[in-house]
Amino acid sequence: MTEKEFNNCVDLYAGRLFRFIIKNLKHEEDAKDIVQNSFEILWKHHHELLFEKARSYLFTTGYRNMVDHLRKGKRVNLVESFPENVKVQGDIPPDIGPVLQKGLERLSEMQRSLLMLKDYEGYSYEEIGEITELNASQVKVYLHRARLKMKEYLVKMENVL
Amino acid sequence: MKINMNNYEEFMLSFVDNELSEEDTGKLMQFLEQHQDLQRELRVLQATKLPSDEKIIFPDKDLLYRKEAVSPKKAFFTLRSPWVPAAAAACLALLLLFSLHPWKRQVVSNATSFNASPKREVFFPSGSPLTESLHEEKKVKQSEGIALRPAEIKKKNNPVPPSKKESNLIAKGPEAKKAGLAVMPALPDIPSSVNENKEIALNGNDLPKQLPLENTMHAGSLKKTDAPESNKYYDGHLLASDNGSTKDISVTEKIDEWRKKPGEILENIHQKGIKIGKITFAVNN
Repeated sequence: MTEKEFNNCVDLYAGRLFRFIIKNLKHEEDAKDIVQNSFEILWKHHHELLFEKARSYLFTTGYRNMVDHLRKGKRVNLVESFPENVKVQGDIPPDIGPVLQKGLERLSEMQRSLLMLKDYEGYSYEEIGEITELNASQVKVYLHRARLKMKEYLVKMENVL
Repeated sequence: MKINMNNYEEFMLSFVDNELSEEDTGKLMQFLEQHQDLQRELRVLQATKLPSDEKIIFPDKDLLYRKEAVSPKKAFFTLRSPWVPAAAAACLALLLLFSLHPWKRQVVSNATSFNASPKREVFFPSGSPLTESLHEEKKVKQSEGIALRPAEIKKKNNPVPPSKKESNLIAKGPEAKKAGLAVMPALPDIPSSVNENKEIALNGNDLPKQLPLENTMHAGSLKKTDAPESNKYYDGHLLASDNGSTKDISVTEKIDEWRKKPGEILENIHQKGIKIGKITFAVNN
């Protein structure tokens, strides 16, 4: 991967990786640190990597950094609502919708990560398995469970509303 | 695999995940047409899909851009252009031309003939530097009440006959002894054409207390003549007189070449920009 391709990766994937991390961590500075660290590692190995593999490499690095960060217990206490300090364009709240947002927060870290990798990034089960160090079958099972959990929440909220 | 009421949910979930093959997608659509009450369940599952959220941006993207550092080797090859070898060749040609030019060779040959000895050292076996005699001379002249006049400054091309010079410059006999100075043995008269001594013309207060040693350095070895007169002159040795005192310059190298040039000025001695003396070679024939 060339320098130009690396900087192209910054344009293409920095925002997406940041979104993926911040929706798990709920902490802007920690998410920024992880994104910067991920791109730092990518830069160190950019000569060995193909541009086509860069996104997967970035998300793998970012996901593992995030899991390490969460395991260290620094940001274990996840807040219920979306943090106000997260910068969004035009100060518009996340377009996920309040019900989906709350349902997402009820998922485990793993389920939430799988769901975001699937829906935001469109990764296949195999690709998600590479990022999360799971096999494709595990990804499929975990992802289906997460989806059903979300469905139950939506149905429940629909009945309440 | 056939879709039934026990496994349709997995087909639906895989369909929502875009992981269902076309064939299985067709089967699912057929199944849902047969069971329209399950279509709502599929819509709820589809509603769990997280919508694209592009509003969250990374605020410090500029920190992530990188530029590769250019290594010196790479920079060399990057800067290298076709005219660089031509410039290098031109420089080499100029150097070659300069080194082979005739006047350059002439300068080199002259320098070689003049600077006969590659090592210029002065040895004083008696431990007394050459300049000591100059200092002594000042004391002697002052003790004798000899006034030093500017007219005594000798020019380079107008040497003084040794006899006259010695009368002015050499501290002799009882006067010197009165002054408490070491008496330098008087030199025998030497023909001026053969023995050109160092001439010292002192100008009042400009008389140096001590000349820098390098001002008195010459090829060969230089020492005060403390030996008897009979030993002062012998073939192959050069003589010089500094401040009237006789110096026996034993030339160890290039003696034959020097002998051909009696009277040649080896060095002029300057003090504060004024020539106060010179050292010449003399050969005892």
